[in-house]
Amino acid sequence: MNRLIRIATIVALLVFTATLIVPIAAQDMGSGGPIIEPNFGDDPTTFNPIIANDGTSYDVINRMFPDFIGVDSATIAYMGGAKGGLVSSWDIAEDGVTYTFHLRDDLAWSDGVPITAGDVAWFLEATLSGETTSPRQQLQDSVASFEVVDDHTLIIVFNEANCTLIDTLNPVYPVPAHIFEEVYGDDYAGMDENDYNLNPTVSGGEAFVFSNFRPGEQTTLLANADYPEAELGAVIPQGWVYKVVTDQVVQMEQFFVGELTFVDSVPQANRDDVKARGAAGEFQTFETPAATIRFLSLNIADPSNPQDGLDEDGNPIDQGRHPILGDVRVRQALNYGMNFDEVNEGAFFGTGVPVASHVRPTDWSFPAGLEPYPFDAEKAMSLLDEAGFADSDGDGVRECSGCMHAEEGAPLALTVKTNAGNTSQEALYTILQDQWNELGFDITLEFVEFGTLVSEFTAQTYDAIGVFWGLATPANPNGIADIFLPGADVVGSGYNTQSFNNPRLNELIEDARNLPGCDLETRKAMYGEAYQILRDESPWIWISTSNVLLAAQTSVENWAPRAGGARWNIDAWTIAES
Amino acid sequence: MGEPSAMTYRRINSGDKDHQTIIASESLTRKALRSIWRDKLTMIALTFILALTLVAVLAPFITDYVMRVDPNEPTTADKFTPPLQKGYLLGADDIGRDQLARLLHASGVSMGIGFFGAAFSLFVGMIFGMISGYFGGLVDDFFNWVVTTIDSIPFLFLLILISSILSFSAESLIITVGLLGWTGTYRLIRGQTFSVRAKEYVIAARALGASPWRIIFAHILPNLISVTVISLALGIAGLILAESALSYLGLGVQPPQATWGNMLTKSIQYFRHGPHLIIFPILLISATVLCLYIIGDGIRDAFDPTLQR
Amino acid sequence: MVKYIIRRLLQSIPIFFGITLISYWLMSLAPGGPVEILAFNNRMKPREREELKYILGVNDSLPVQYLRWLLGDDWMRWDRDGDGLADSAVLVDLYAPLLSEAGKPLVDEATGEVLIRPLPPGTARGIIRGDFGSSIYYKRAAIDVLVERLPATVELGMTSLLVGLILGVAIGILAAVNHGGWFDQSSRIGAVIVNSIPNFGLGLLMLLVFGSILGILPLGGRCKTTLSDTCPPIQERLEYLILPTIVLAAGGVAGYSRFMRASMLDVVSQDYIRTARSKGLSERLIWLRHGMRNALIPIATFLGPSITFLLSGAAVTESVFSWPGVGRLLVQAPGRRDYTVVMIVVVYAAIANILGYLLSDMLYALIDPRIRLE
Repeated sequence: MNRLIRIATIVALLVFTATLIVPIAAQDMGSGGPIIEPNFGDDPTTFNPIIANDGTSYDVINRMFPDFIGVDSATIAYMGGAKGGLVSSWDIAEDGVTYTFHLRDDLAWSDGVPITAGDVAWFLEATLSGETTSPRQQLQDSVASFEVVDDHTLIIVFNEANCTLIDTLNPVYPVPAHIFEEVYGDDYAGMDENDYNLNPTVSGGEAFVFSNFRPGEQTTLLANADYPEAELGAVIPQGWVYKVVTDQVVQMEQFFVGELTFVDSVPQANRDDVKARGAAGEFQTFETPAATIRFLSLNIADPSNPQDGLDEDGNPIDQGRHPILGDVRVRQALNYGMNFDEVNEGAFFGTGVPVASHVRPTDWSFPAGLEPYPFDAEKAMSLLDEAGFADSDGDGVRECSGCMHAEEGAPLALTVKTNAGNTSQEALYTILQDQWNELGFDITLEFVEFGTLVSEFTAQTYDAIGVFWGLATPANPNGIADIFLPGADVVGSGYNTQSFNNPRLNELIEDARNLPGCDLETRKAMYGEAYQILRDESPWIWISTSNVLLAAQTSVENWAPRAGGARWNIDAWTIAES
Repeated sequence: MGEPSAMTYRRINSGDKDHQTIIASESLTRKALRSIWRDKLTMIALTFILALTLVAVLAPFITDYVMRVDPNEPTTADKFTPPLQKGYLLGADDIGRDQLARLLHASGVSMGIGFFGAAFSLFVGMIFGMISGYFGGLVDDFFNWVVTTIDSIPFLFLLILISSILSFSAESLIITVGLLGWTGTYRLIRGQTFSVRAKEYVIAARALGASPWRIIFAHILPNLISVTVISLALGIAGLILAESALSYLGLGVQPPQATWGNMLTKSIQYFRHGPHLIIFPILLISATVLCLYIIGDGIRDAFDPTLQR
Repeated sequence: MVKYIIRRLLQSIPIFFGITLISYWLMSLAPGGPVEILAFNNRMKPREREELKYILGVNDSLPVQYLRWLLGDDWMRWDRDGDGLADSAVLVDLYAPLLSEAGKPLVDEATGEVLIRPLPPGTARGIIRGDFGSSIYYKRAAIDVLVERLPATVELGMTSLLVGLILGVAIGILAAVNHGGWFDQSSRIGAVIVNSIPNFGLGLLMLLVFGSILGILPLGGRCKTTLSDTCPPIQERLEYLILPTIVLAAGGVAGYSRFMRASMLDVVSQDYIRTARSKGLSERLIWLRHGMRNALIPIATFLGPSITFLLSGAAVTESVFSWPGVGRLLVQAPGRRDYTVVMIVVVYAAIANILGYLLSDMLYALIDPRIRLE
């Protein structure tokens, strides 16, 4: 019965696709003009997915190598057969650790060699060797072994059964094994030095293939002549150029005069302008939730004596308490004292979306009823009173009188640090400083060079540090483990730098990860409770996730970005050449 | 970018002959002062700088008691208010802070960085220059090595490197500049000290047992007044520009401390929202730098014997 | 002459070492290291980060790191018996500890000893043998990263130098001939005004005016964006050079023109010019043949300082105009603690500077017969 439905679906799909192709079959590959996208920042550093670890490099790699497991752009979840993925389906054996992946057989490298299980195996072989300079520990820890059954079947055996195994395969890509074997051999450690990294003669399986890289200027890909997934039967744009533009003002001006085809994140300063002009028909625009969360990390432990969360035997270490932030009521007061509407208007031009916890409203694990702290100055003040901070000398700053961790008479003073050179962070924290000082805090703001900030963050010597961070797409709620569990509280290298340790949370995260059967609803409920704990205990202040605004020239036909992928149908974009 | 002026700076300081000939006598100084007094352009520039300095020094007083505004207090409802509206004389910035109040405070910071940075480096350069020129020998060789080394790395490169150690504040920028920017003055003073040391009256003074420091202060320093003032003027201008360049790269003096440089850098992003946020900082920077150049020129002309009327 | 050059080059050796010492020391003072920045990513685990530190050798003491950069480390840790693993070491450790999940050294429960693994022999040859090391961020030899960016920087630098020189000299001459007149005054004031505007402000405003509003010049970049793997020859894309050159040459124009004016006026007041004049030579001939020729000589001394100045200017100008040059590297590399790239840019600037000054002096000697280099 199941099989019948599947066959029927495929037939229906084929018919549907055929109707799509027929009328447009006249369109030739590469007839659509090149797509020019700005790269605000620096060059990609490598086009070899085995060693890549910066976003810019992945931006290019994702245009010319298929993912191992694709992400469906409509549901934003890993899916067999999703466009841009090599895996068509997978089965899980009874033991829960043996996964058999069935690969599609219609993808080929640009030299005509088919993409097979061996290409994935080459990637795994190199990565699991642990010799590359870009270790992928999560992958190394989870995969026990793998076996190529045939060209289109790959078995991966994991070390233990849990519900996030597919997520750990996120960095896996097929690589052209026949070329890589020749170019790199088994010298995985020396991979970085190879010139081939920036001149990959063979790519494929995606809409574009590599053409050339001009350092400091641009990376150029050309339409893939042999791309079976093209929406219109062939890749319409002639090529894709990732062009370095180092000044944000100039970047938008280039877009306005038409030098750029598409901007995937309009700077906040230009957003209302672009939106208005979009509404007037000058551009196409699309708004979608961003993958980044802005947060202020609050150090709960004593910053003058940073300690790891656990000793060698896994027992908690006494880390002392932060004199002010060690009290949860003070942390809550900061939350209640944040007037989000004012922050949003002042710092984000109204594009911010309040976040309550370590989850975006669009993620599958987002629980109903999880509410951000409302703005309530009264409540904030009474919490501070309760915590034993009162302004006894009338100077507008509260002092400790019977508080839990600070010395008697010590002022309610905090140093908030954030990264220098970012206008919206600057505006955000200037406004927050003002709001919190009104409650009786004495907030000192410091804008610190990024490298210095990161080192203070990991050294755990700060009061409060604000940065922003990307969440994984598709969302992996297990990410909480790396930020809020005591195992990640390692001075100098772990990211639980706030030294948060809540036994119930630890239990929930562990259980949700290892839930037998991995029932999604049960896990969702567990994560829901975890998010609620994080919100209430507030080791971070989750400030906002911003909507990003995408904009394209009106000359781009078939531009239909989705929340799950702005470029999911990039092969169909048709740019009328002027 | 402090560099255009740094070039002029280096040239003037390198002891070209038009300055080596300036051995100012009392009457020459008096003549020069008179000629500056008659030079309208220089006087206007001087007046502008003095007035601005006065305003900058009084900025906290003006904002606290006259305007009654906190330059760092945001009022988001008023963001991008144009000049002369809602009680903002020069408008409000991207989070609704009073631009006039911020510019006043920024003037103090920017001019302060320029003045104290230039004065500090001048001081360091003079001391080292005089020591090196007076004692010569190994001391001189050592200082020359240090100076050539520092000069071989572009000044802005050094500032960029140090910015990742310090995340500049006004104070740390002044100290950095003072410790690195003295090489020009050093070369000049060293040369002058060298030549003066060989003069008969100095040899006589030494023979009579005068201490080196006395000789330096009594006989060498007075000859260097005009060059010093020129160096100072151009040095201030150069630093104001350098501070703004650093701000553009995101490495300058960090907010909430306002400087002309970081105000301008930030406002350029918002040029479609509030052109007034660009115009005023850029005008202030340019006018100040221009006036300092004019003053430098004026003093040079006044002390140049060939131009004495 | 050859002797002079050799001696000058020898003299610059201590200076060169001074430069590397100062910049290496300054750079290492910056808190944090490349691994923290590279791995600022919440999917990276503690052990990974710590292991990366051993691979990259950033745990060694500062003098050792400096020595490795300068002289290489193939003599610090080497393989005597040829099994691929090091068996002898000076200055550095022969073994690295095995690490636990939390990135801490693992200890043998029974003996209480730290578990260790052998390290591969050193392969770095140090800059004195031409090995500038690998860039941690760019994942390739630092020298490659620099060389890729050099053509663009040289192109813009040379253009700016030439434009500055030609315009500056021309304006200086005209101003001297016209001294006291309107051209003299307005050119002086004009040059000063342009120089009073912060470089980046001038650049951005010109981009907005000529690129966005008027639409007659491109908005930054080095050539038109196409699918091609190179930019067309320079003469076919001059419009891309106009604005950055104006910004970068402004300082030069002002400097050269003032200098030229002053030295022209100086020369024509000399006795031999008076003699020439009394012999009845035409004014024009006097200005051009005698005045200009002699006044041009000191301009040669400008070459050295100009190079330093253009390099500094490049950091900002290249960022404003998205120009793919070296200056931008120095803006980005310190923030990433990409030590090798920072150092190679500094070394390159220092060499350019030392050679620039040397060239200045040689030019000066070539042009001016009164000067002998000794």
